[in-house]
Amino acid sequence: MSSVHRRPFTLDWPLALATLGLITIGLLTVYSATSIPGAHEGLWLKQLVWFGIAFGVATVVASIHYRVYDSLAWPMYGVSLVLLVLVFLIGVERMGAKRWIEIGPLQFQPSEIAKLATCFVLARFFDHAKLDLTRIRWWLPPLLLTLVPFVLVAKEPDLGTASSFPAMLIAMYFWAGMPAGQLLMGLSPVMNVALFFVTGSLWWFAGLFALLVAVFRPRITTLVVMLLLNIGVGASMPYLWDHLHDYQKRRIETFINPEHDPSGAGYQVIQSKIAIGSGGVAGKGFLKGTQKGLAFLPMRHTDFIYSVVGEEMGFLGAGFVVLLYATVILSGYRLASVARDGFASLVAVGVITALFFHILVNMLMTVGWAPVTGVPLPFLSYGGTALIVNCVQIGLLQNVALRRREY
Amino acid sequence: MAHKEMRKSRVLVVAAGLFLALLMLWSRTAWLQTARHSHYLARAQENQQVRKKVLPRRGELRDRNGRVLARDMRVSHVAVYRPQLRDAAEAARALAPLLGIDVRVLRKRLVQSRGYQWIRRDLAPEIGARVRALRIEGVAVEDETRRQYPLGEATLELLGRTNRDNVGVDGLEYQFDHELGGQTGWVTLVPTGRSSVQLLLPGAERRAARDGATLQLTIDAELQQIVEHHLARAVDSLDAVRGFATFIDPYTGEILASACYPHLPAGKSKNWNFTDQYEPGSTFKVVTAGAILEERLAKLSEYFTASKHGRVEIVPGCFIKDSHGRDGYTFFDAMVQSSNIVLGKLGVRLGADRLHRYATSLGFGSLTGLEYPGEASGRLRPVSAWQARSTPTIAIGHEMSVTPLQLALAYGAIANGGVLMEPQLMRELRAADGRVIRRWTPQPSHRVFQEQTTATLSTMLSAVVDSGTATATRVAGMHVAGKTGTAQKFDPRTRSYVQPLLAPLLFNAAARA
Repeated sequence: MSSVHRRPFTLDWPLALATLGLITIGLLTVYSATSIPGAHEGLWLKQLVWFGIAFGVATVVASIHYRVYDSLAWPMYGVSLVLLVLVFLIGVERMGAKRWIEIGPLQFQPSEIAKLATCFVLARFFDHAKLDLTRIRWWLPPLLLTLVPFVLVAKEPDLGTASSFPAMLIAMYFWAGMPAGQLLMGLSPVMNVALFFVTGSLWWFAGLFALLVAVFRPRITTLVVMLLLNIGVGASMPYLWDHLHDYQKRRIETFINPEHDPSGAGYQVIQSKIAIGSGGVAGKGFLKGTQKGLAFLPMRHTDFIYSVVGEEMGFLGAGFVVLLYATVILSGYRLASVARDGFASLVAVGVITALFFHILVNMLMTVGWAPVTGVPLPFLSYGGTALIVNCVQIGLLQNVALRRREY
Repeated sequence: MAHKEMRKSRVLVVAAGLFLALLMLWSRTAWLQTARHSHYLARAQENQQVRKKVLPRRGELRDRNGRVLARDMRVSHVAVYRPQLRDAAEAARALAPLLGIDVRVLRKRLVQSRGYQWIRRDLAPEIGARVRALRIEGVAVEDETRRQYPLGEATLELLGRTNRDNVGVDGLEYQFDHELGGQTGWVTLVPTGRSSVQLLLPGAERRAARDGATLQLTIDAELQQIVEHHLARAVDSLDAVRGFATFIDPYTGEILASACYPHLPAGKSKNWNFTDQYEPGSTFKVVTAGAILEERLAKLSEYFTASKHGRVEIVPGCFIKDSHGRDGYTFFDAMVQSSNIVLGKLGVRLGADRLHRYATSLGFGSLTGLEYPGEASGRLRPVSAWQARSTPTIAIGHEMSVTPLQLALAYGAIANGGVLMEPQLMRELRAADGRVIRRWTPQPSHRVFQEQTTATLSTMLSAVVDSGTATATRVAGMHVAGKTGTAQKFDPRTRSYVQPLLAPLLFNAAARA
């Protein structure tokens, strides 16, 4: 720590190096994944250009003092909501989903901007001397602030990105000091749905709920409200199921049993597992993967890039990638805990949680443990917008790192 | 904001959760890559193997002298895939002379094409090779095998046809599809690392294609063409609904020609000689006459009364008519002039059992065993189902039906001295490697008449041509014998029997000169 005292303005080097390492692996893997003759050759060069842009943007984001973001939180939040509504009006439709806004040559996903703006506005709200999250006056507004962009993004539809909003909220609730029992109580409707889909019975949840009540002994009013809420969720489940899109239903069904429809919905996951599994410990070697050819591995340079890593570099390579991600995420949470400023600490938690959530959802999907949601793998997948947004997130963390001694 | 102490305990919770999630992911990857490695490796290799079909050549059909009646011919199709075609005008300039299409017309077609489209089909393979050599991106050449029939429609009903996939759908192409078609082979190809080149590994699984066998028929191509030509002229000039003719060698049962006219489109065409059944009418009288002679129930000179009015009640309730009224005939004259009344009376003298026995013995009422799809059996009811009027009626060829082939074989038995031959359409089935798979030889079925009987019948049938009802069929320099017959056919539209709906069935047993 003594070095920090001598040079107070310093980057978080493990975070920076791990990020650079991931981006390098990403470039190599995109090169390999698109090396078979076809339409996508040369994408790695484009990705390199994107990285140049992303690096510049991240530097700018890191050098502006986070107080600026703090004071601009509400206007940014307002603008991002307007953009989310605009997506429905002037958005570009791709494969049945309106997620993009096009202005000339520029394309971007407003949901990514909304994610950052929501993080700022939540951090600003929680960073308050009188904050008491056991009172409704303090815990309800953040819930509503998150719910609005969540619903808008989910409606696009983009469930993968949308679900990172609640993940962020939960982490920030916890970080801001909400009692664990209350948080678990609040999460009970989510557990209710999840347990129902996994077990097909409501009794599992009933048992869990009883256990929660016994351990945490909530106030009687809270208990009644949560009980009613859960009954409501349980009763509306079939209705909810009916209102999912067909492809969403199929993905959930496929997730539960992928071999049920091996040539249709389960195809991607099966082929991904074949790619990873056939890689073995040492892998087939760079450029020597066979699954990427003949279109066996769909979206190999975007959503399923982890499978290419697993196939060509084996468990050594895949394990190394997981290690790099662990470094990034742990650095993020470490920054959150050492930052002296409340806003900075909360922003770090929100940003790193959203990032972590994407990483986990993508990787679990490629190994067959999460439904296919179309979430790219941060830093590795090909895609300009995603790379810029992820680098901006790292930029924000470095922003906090540079000023971690400030109050 | 939370206190610093609380943050410290919370960071532990977060770190623990994080560690757990990453551990989960890590162990899942490890599980897939170590414990399940061999399973997924096998599935990845399975993914890589491509089975490519190797198509066999379909066997030829040949006539009795080795002339080709059906053969496989390679053809090339030229197609364009518009999204890949860079310069339609230049492609048109290069392709037009090869494809024989005007440059401007071709350019217009190329420009207007969408997706993958045929430009010209059924080209000679040499032209296909030359188009391929141009190496124009977006222009594809596909090779295919087409069935070709040198005699054209003359053999349509006999040989049948194959479909687009070169699979026999009717006629002999259908009957012998398995033998002619051969066996499709395949090779397992493995793609090489980065390029699209596929390798044939020495140890890879494969199965060689086996070309189809060649089938030689008893048909005489020249005779077949002549018969079809004249049949077509006759049907057209008489404005008949249809006509058919079968030529057989009476001593071997070999079918030398079998034609039909008019030609229906492939898939709808049938060889009526084998598949249709008609009342034989007067042509059946030889069966009655032959049986009478064989059983010595009447002499040729025996006189039978007929009627001036041409109408006689032979058994109670059964009236039989002659076309010309006359007091009476000898047995011989009755055959030459085709008297229904006399032959009806002879039928009664013969009796139901014996009439049925001789008819059956000559092959009527059952399949001849010809290997041809859809052969009909004709209709001859058992005696138990006959009524009193049935015996005289069947004796003159009504109340029953026969196929033209059955009739030809029965007359063949008269021409060859009394032995019914089994029909023969094929001579030899020879595998592509020259090995004979199957050989057909003439098969006598059994003797029906003594030679003396058939000699007498031949004399009668010669007289029919020389001075009787069939004088129109005389041929200079050739001995012709035969019998005319007017069939009766039930017309479902008018719900009554229509008399001359069917042209006379004619049999020319050309006595050997």
